[in-house]
Amino acid sequence: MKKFFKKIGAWFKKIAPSKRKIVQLYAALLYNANIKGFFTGKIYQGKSKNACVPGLNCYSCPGAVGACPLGSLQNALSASDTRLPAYIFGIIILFGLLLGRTICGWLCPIGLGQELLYKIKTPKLKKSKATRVLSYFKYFVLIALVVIVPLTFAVPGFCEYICPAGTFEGGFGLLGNSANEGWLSMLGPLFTWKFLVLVLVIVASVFIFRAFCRFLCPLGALYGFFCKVAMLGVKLDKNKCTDCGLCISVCKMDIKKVGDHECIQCGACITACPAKAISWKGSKLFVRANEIDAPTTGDDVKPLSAFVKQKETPSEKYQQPTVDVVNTVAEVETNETQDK
Amino acid sequence: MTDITREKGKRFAKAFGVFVGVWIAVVGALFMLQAVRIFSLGDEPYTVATVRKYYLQIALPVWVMIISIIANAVLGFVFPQDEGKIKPYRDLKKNLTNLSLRVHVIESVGEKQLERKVAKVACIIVCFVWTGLAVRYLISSQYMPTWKGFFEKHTEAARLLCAVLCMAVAIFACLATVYFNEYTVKKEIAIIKEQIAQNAKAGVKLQAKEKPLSFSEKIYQKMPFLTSKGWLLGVRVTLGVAGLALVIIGVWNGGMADVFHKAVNICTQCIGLG
Repeated sequence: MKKFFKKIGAWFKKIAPSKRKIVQLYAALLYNANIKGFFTGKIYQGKSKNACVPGLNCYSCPGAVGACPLGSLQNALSASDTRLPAYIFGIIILFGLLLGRTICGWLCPIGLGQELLYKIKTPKLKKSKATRVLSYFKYFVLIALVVIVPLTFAVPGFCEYICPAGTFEGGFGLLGNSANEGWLSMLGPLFTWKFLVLVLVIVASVFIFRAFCRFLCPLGALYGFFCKVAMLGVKLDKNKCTDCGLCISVCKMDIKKVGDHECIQCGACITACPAKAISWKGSKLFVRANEIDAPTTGDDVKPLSAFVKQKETPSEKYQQPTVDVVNTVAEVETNETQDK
Repeated sequence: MTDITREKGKRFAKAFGVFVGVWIAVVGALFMLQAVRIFSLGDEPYTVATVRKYYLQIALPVWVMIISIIANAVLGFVFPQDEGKIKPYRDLKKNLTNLSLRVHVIESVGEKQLERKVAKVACIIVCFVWTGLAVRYLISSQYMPTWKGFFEKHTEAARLLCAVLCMAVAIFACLATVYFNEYTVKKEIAIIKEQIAQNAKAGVKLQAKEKPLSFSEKIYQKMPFLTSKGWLLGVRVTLGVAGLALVIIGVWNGGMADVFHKAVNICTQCIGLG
């Protein structure tokens, strides 16, 4: 009996949400704090909708208390012949400068939804060169649907044709309420198309980590331009880096190096780095390096060497990152033991 | 629980995970199929009764999916899978650069490099052409080929399909180039390693060449101030001031009011009403 409860406790510790998940959940609840809207079937019309939320959250969701930056950008570009879209440009620059793609990893409800779907235990499609190439498709979506289509046709191209947040949060949120039953008759080919895209994104998210974020999200593409200058995020100390490549292997996004335009600043690489070369920007001010998502006590702690695949055949000189990593890890652990 | 039971349980849990994955894909396809069936009913196809009727038809597969996901989670608890070992990432290009420093110029290696350059140029041209076509179809349907049947009436759907197909060709060209480049890099590495082995056998010692600078390293060498903290601070301050100024201009010229106006009214395009 004792063993059973111990197992339950260990399982609970394993599945307990990390700090990042909790922050994502709080952000999702904060963006959609107008719970009353889900019951009345009406959207919030308060003053807070003057401001945009940092992540992707449809402003037609009955619970939404802020505006969507992507939808606002497209509408501003649609109306750019009458008014300069300065406000939304300024908002996006400030979000990108302060947070960059930390928004994607920590403050986006759509990202949270995808990560929860990915937890369903099925075979997964790992990242590869193909996914790296496909990750550039979101830049085409950004240019074509978020810039060209609104400027040319004065319609929000991404919102109208792709955005799954609009279909799920706005569409189902409003149409699911009995007060809006009459709107069902207005649905047609556009809704059918968007519903197909939504189902595709949901199914893909079960097998591919953050499929929408990696291949389709133009907001992530936009924030990715600020990766070098963003004030919050991960940074690499090149003096400590041994080039073992574990950070890139552990990362589920299509990064080529830590902190590049594909990095969502989740911090998984900080835990994985055996040389502790990766830390948070501003870590001395706000958090200690390697703190977030890293269990430091209890049975869950494993030596980092346990995560490195041992090669069975003798490795050649220029293909021995495994041996180098094991040696580096062993040195780090020995030093830590000596320090203690 | 014995080790054999645990191993069998883990294998069963893994196999069950495959079943769950397949079932999720099937249910997803059923959802999409039902939506298309409802749409094909004709004018104003979506009503509460119709949606309820069509989606109740697939209620059983949906319940099977939900139950199997829960069962899969329970199996994962009872028979936890071993955490997979992580294979450290190998950068082939870096490996090639390091190896090529140890040999003099080899003709066949030069041929491989030329092949890669040609493939890259061809890929860029193909991508430009097909992406341009995709944008052309997105902008206007007048450039599209004549469609018959379903697409004759639904020109927007036809336009989107044309754009998606063109992008698919561009993506396929990029994928083909990436894999071709990897193939040639591997061949080049094999040639260089053979040469290094021959040099070692013959006792030939070559002076190691200087490592060539990458494009970004060349830029940083010409403009060393780009790596300084002062430069980064300057860029951040400039962007911050520019962002604040744009927000203030936006509030003054009515941009914020536009955002508010759009956000407090239902975005019919966003929810699929058009």
